[in-house]
Amino acid sequence: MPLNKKIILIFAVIALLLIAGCKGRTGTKGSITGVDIRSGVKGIAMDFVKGSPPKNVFEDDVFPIAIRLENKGAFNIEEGKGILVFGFEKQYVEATKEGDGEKQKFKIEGKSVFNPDGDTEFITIDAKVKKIGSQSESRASTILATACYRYETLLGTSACIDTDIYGAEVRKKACTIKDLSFGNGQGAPVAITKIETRMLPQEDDNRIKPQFLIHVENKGNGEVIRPGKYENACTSGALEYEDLNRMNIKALLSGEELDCSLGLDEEPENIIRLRDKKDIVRCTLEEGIEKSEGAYTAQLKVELDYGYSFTISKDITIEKVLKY
Amino acid sequence: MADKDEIKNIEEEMLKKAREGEEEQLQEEELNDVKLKREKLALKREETEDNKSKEENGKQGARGLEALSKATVEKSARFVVLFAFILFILDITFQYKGFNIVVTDGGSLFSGILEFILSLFYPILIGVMFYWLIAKKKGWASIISFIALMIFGLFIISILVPNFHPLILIHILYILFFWLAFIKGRDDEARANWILIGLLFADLYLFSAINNFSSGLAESFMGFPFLFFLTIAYVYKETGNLWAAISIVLVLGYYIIVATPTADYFQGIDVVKEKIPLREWPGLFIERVIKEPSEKFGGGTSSWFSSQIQYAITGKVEKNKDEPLGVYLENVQPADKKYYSDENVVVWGTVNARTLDDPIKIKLGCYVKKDGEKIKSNEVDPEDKVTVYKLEEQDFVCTFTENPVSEGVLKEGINTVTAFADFNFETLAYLKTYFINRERKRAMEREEIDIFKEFGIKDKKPISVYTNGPAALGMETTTPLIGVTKEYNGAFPRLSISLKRNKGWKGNIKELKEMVIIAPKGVKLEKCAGDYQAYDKAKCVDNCNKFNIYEDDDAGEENACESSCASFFEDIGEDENLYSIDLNKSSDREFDEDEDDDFKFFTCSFNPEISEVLEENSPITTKFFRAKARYDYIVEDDVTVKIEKSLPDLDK
Repeated sequence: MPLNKKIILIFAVIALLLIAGCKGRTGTKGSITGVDIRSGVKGIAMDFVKGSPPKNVFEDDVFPIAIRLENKGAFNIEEGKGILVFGFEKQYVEATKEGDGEKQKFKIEGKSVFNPDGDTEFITIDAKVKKIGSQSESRASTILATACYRYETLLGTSACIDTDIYGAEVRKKACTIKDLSFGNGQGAPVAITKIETRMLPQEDDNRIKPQFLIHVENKGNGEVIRPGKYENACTSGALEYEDLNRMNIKALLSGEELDCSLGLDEEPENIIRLRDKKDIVRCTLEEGIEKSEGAYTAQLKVELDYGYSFTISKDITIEKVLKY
Repeated sequence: MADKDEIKNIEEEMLKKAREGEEEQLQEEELNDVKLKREKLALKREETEDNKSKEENGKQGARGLEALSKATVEKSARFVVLFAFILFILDITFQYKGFNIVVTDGGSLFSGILEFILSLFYPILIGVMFYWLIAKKKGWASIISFIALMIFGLFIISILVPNFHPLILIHILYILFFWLAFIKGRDDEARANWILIGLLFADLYLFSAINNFSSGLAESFMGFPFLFFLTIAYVYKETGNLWAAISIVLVLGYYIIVATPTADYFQGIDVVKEKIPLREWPGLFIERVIKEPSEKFGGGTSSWFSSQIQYAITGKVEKNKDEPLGVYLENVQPADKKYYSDENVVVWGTVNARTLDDPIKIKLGCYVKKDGEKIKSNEVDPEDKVTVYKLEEQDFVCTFTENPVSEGVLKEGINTVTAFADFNFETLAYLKTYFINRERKRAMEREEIDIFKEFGIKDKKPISVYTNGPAALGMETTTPLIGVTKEYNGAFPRLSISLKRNKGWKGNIKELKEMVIIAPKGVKLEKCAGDYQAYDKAKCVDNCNKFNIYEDDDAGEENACESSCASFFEDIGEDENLYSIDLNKSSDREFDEDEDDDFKFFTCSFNPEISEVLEENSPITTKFFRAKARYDYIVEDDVTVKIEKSLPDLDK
């Protein structure tokens, strides 16, 4: 192929890729589009404000530490339900206000129709540098910030209920049973990724039991804590293994609560346990549905209730002012 | 020739026919026919001549191209040699190590690399499409090598951008230039790509790869110009460039004579500059050329092995911005090139000392070894101990008087005189340790949660950091993350400490005077291999007096010890617990001066009190163990002194 034709072809490929890569706004031009606030897999995002702490500090200095907290999920953190603790290498750095200074509470509102980006909060404390040793010129030190908060994942969707489990019905049905996938999350770090629908026969031939296999995954960068124990995660106290990777689940089909218990003695009802950040839970409408109902679409609602904890860190360098 | 004969034949035929009177009968067509044949022959001749001249031009053109590319290669060779030489100088000056990467978690490194490669799916796809369009050879081998090169190149960029260093960029540019000039056009595409990847990897990552396996081995190779030798040797092989050969010789010579600490044993061999009596040659040869280097090489190798196998407490030196701490002898030399046997022998030198804390008292002197015994010089100036505060340089002179040759102290011929500086020094070390509630630790481990990753802790295997100086003070605990509980049932965690000579230092630790362990708040020593006791300011002063740490102090020994101990305790937190190891046994404090790798090792179990060691509001707590070692060190430097038989007194 002649060189100039090759070059033209190369530029054509680049142009195609650029065009394909550009995303236009959804919806027709000029129309108002609604923002789905229950999307995404983030909860609280946290980072150190630039320069707070500074990269280098000196002995006996006082310096600020500022944390920016953004609620990028769809759940509001109420007053007192969010805790932020700071960890220092206390031989070299400590908060100027011990105790309360190191532990702060926060509340932040999540995404809403009126605030699609969620709220941002800043928490600032001061820290003091101590001496680093007579023979040392500088020392590296790490500052930790751990956030612990209560969060919820809410999913509302429609599921097809078809009582004709053997496919004997010849009439055209109102809907078809299919698996539901949710790739975008529900505006929380723990996401429901998939729901499989099954219709099971009951002892009573005239009824069937709808059953849903709900796939849950921790998509965030922190750890899931049992909802009542999230405050413990921000202390030095003990945490049992039953407190980690546990959350409450509540599923409702057309307003009726489904039974999601594992049936095991070790776990209370409706507590699911993540293994390798994932789990599949079976929720069943035990009382069943009359076969005569036929096929119809029903409202399925799933609520996950849990605590969440994650930590960020920042390194600083403590320097000595050399006097010669 | 055949064409000419043909024409001649035709003409003869015509003449014959004309003579026979048949010319009139020749048809016009026959004449035209002949004319046509003539024209065709002429055209053919022209064509043949044209082709010949074209061929000639073609040959000239090819020769011209060859000449042109040879000239380009020559210029490229010269440029590469010059570039490589400049790069070599920069590497030596800045101690080039490539990307000096320290791997703290091998597992996450490999998974991180894998994730990185997977994230490059689209860029690689586009790159492969480009390659397919423009490459001359489209084989699978060349595409795979191109993909590997792209991944590696992007990997380098992803590390270079946040960790930009101009010298690394210069290295990359040099390698690319060398590759374009000498490799790309000469090898098949796939092979050329793999060679580029190999060169980049060796230059940018080899030091880090070796260093994470063995820091001792990496130090041995630090500064060795692999890239220089590889590329310049190739240039020389391909072009025979004279400058390439010269630069290889120069750099090799530099490296052997000057470059790295592991070349020390060459420095131990003093070049005999002047004529030596024949009878001394065999002895000198055996001593200097065979015995000494073998001992030093063998000792160095075994110490590398022993340091890796016998005990594994590692540590690293805390960097100082300015000159390193400690005492150094420099410019030790005899005052004269040679002496006569009836003369005094004078050796002088300079001692450099730097400290950030207590003053150093240095005793200077010289000695010669005879029959295993050290015979000191009669006079030393300065005679008394020199006190160095912070940073000082001091000249000294040793004189062997009173007919050293006739007294048998020195001999005619070559003598080795050792200058020494005997001084007190102190090394401090700290070790970061993490503490967490043991139940929480077990719960997280049971749930397969990486505790360090969960808490954003990058330093997962902290090692002891010790201040600069002649001794290496290593510390380690049973594990970096200690689970704290109320009841250990005897299985307390342990702290181990070692003290040995620091790498790169000549001389030896003479005697350990004091070993102090500073445990963080809430941590108490439970039991040690030897005896130990609580350490406070009074104990500090008592030890200082007992071991004469400050001798002949003009201000009074007591005052020196008081102020030194007061200064030490200023650095100690209120809640820290101090202990000193009992050094009454000589085996615990004295070092074997004949053994280069002698070290002292102490181990203690400790009990962290759960209510005190864990910070209330923090799920994981970071604390530091500290240690302080005071010791006497002797640093030495050898010099060769030549003594000739004195000339007879002509007056007598």
